[in-house]
Amino acid sequence: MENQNNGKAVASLVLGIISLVFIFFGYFAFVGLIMAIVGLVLGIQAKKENPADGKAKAGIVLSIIGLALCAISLIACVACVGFLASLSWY
Amino acid sequence: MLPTIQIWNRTIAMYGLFIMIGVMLGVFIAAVRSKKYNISREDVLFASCYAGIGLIIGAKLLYIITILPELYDYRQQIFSDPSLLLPIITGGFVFYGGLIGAVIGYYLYCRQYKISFIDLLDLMTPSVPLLHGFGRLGCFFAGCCYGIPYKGPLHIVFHKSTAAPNDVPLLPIQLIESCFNFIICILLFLLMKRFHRHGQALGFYLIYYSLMRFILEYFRGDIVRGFLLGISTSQWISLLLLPIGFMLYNGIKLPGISSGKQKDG
Repeated sequence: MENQNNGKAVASLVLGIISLVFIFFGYFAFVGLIMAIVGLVLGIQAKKENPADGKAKAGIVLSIIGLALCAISLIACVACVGFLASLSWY
Repeated sequence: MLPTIQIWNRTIAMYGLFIMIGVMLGVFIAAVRSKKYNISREDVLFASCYAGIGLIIGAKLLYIITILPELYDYRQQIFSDPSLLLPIITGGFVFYGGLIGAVIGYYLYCRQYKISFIDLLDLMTPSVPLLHGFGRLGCFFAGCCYGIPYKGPLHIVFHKSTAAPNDVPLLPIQLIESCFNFIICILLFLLMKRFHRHGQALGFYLIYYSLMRFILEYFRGDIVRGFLLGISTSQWISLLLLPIGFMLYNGIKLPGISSGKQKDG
């Protein structure tokens, strides 16, 4: 059980770090967003199972930062500058 | 108006920035108030992460649903150049989808970690209009979700917007909705002590927001929101949420939400 928990914490940490890298890759920040989401869920699970796990805590923090920054660099605007705008330029 | 700003040579969308400011403020205020509801600050943060994931997925899904007819109409262009679909990732979020997605996110977290769902909803309710108010400010800067043409006092004119019609005087509907959202946020904080039943605050918010949104939709100038039988998707959802709001406010029990229960203390 502890091994599995440790695996989740390490996975969360790795995904958090990778999600931060994707901030610099334009549309691929979407991939970073998904990684941050998965990292966050795994990190929270690991932290709940073992509250003293430092790796899980680091994974959660990095994933939250990754999620926020990827979302900021991706989300342009509400219901408008999206698909239909691109079609009108077509 | 000012859709993007440059920070360290990186272009940052004002909409995303305002949403993040709203989210952080909302979660911070909820974390400060969490003791009263017997929920740990850690749970508020973690549950909000689940809600944030639900928000992104829900808002995006509802947007895609609203543009399905257009996707179908332009299917040949899309098949010949699939890169046209890329902007769907960045642009296009519908608030109601986000709200429903966030509630589902909270529900999943509460179910997984055995936390009172209704207590968490009571705690988070005032943060929702706060976040939304900031979101609408972001819309104003981005130029999206614009109002109908209007030449009266306090009209706004966009000059370099990719979303709103340029050089046309418009009703600043984003600012109006933002103001109404901040007003309901303040009202919720002021009235919180008077709500004696679980879910009453959420009910109050749903009634207020559904009515407000239903009316304000008539003053929106952007038509990219999907219409059915003459009213928009958001108006349909307002009509669905209004009775739910009344039920929650009046303490009628809903499945999964024990709204009739008296609050402790």
